[in-house]
Amino acid sequence: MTNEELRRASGAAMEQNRRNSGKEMEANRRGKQVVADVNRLLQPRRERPALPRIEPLGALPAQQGVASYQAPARSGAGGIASPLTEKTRVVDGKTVADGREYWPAGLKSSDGLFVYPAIKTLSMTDAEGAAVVINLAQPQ
Amino acid sequence: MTWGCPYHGLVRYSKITLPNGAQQNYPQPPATQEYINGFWVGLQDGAGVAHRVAVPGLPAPELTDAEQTQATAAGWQWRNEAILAGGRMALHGTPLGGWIYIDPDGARWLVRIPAASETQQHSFAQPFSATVTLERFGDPVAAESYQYQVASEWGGIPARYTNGAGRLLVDAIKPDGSAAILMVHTRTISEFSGAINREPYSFLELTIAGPGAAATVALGVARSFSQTNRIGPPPFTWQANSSGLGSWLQASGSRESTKTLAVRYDAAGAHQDFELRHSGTYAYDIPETSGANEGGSSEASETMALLLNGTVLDSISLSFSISCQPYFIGAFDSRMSYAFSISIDGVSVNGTGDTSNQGSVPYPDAAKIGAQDPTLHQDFAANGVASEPHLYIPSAGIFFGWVRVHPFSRQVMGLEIATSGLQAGDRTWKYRPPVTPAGLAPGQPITIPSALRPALSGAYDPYNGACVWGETTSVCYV
Repeated sequence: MTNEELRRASGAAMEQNRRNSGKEMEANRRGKQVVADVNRLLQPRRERPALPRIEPLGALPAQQGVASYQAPARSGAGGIASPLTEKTRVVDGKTVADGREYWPAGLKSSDGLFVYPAIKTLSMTDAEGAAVVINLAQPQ
Repeated sequence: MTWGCPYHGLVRYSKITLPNGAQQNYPQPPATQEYINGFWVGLQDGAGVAHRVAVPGLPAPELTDAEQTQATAAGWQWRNEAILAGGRMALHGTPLGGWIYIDPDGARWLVRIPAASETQQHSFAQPFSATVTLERFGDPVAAESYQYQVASEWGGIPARYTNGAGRLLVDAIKPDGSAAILMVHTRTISEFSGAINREPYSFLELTIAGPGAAATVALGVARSFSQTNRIGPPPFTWQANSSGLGSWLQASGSRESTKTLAVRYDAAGAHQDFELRHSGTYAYDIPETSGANEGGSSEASETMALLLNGTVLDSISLSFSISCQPYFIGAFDSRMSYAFSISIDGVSVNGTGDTSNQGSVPYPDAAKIGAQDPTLHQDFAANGVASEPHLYIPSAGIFFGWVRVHPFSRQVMGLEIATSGLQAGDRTWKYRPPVTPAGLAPGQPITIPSALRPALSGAYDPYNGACVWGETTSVCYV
């Protein structure tokens, strides 16, 4: 190394030294060292490992899902689709209930002169067209 | 669960009074209406009638303590029976125009007989015939109707009446509807007050047995004419005056006549007869017309009584005495002066008279008409059976009175005594406590001074035998 080079290196070192002193003075004025010293006293944060980066593949086009549905067997223990509609038939041009049964005794008034008809059985059809039978208790 | 109509009590001015004292609106049970002389007339002796309806064997509703407390507070009565109220037989406020028969299977049937309506007249010249309709009632699930034909003679009405006509009235019904009494009668409506007066001729009975769809329906005689009108032979005879002028009433002895006013059913379903009896003892020796030249005197002591199944429940006494003397005897005319004393139910009047003012010497009407023509069955029912039963003491120019039976309702009837002084408006009406199917009603006699006969109403409750009478408006138990 020539003397010029040595002088340049020495000058660069002195410049760098002066810069570092300036930075140190700035840091002291800012108190960053104090903060760093305090943080070193705390439990250091655990560094979480970074997830591997996955490149985006781009938007998928809209499409219809396809599935193969197997309807459950109609065993009667399954669900009933609301609403239920009572079966009817036409008699002499009038629509009447079909399959409705009444308790023979009904519900008598206290004087025994009137009987309030008490339904025993209702024959209905659910929203899926399945037959539904409702059995009602005999009134006391 | 208990349901039905729990409202029971007395209805007045279309309001019912409940057991807790509360009042609420309720349809006033209507009497039968008839179109007479251009006006609709309510036949008011039916306004307070109530017939009991009971399903055989039906137990009373069982309520819990809480339900009973609620019912008591609300004034509800959950009964195992009902009432058909008023002449049109209203059930829970709705007129049915018939009664309810409960057949052996427990089915209820509405029984209607249009021909038995009291608004129709029937000739006694032909037997009565009618169609009885049984219509399923109270069960909206089934609807069916059956018709049955019935016929009966009128109960031995004498030939002298068969040119006339009469009416029927369903007057009593068994609680299960299996029998009903139809009263054969004629009817007058008082010109004074519109009060209706019925003269029974006989009583028919309709019976129903078996299931409604195949019932045995029959009509027969329950009380014949002679059983209804038991007229004792008059102990009176007309005798010619010994002087040859005028005629004399000479009689002595006693007489008793009984008229059946209603036939009902007692609690056991047997017939219960309600009757009016007139009995008297007489000692007459008096000229009938002012043509005699001798004086005379007469005395009568009579009783009018109301009986229930042969037991006297109320009666009044009447007495009459008179003596007369001629003071002018002419070839074609004689005049007599007389002194009399009349007493009716404790009201007495003494006085004198003169045949120059009154054409004949007065005496109790029963004696007079009985003597004139006993074949007309004229008795205490003046002018025979075709008039209301009463005893009429003709005017002596100072006093007259009569005793008759007043119908507060068909089930509440009592003795009515009317007395009058000189003036046409000087009239007093006395109503004694009436007789109901349960017996003599409580209360004191009511006295009303009035120129016109008051229209007083009453009602009977077949549920408990209660009764109201002397009301000035229609009342009925439901």
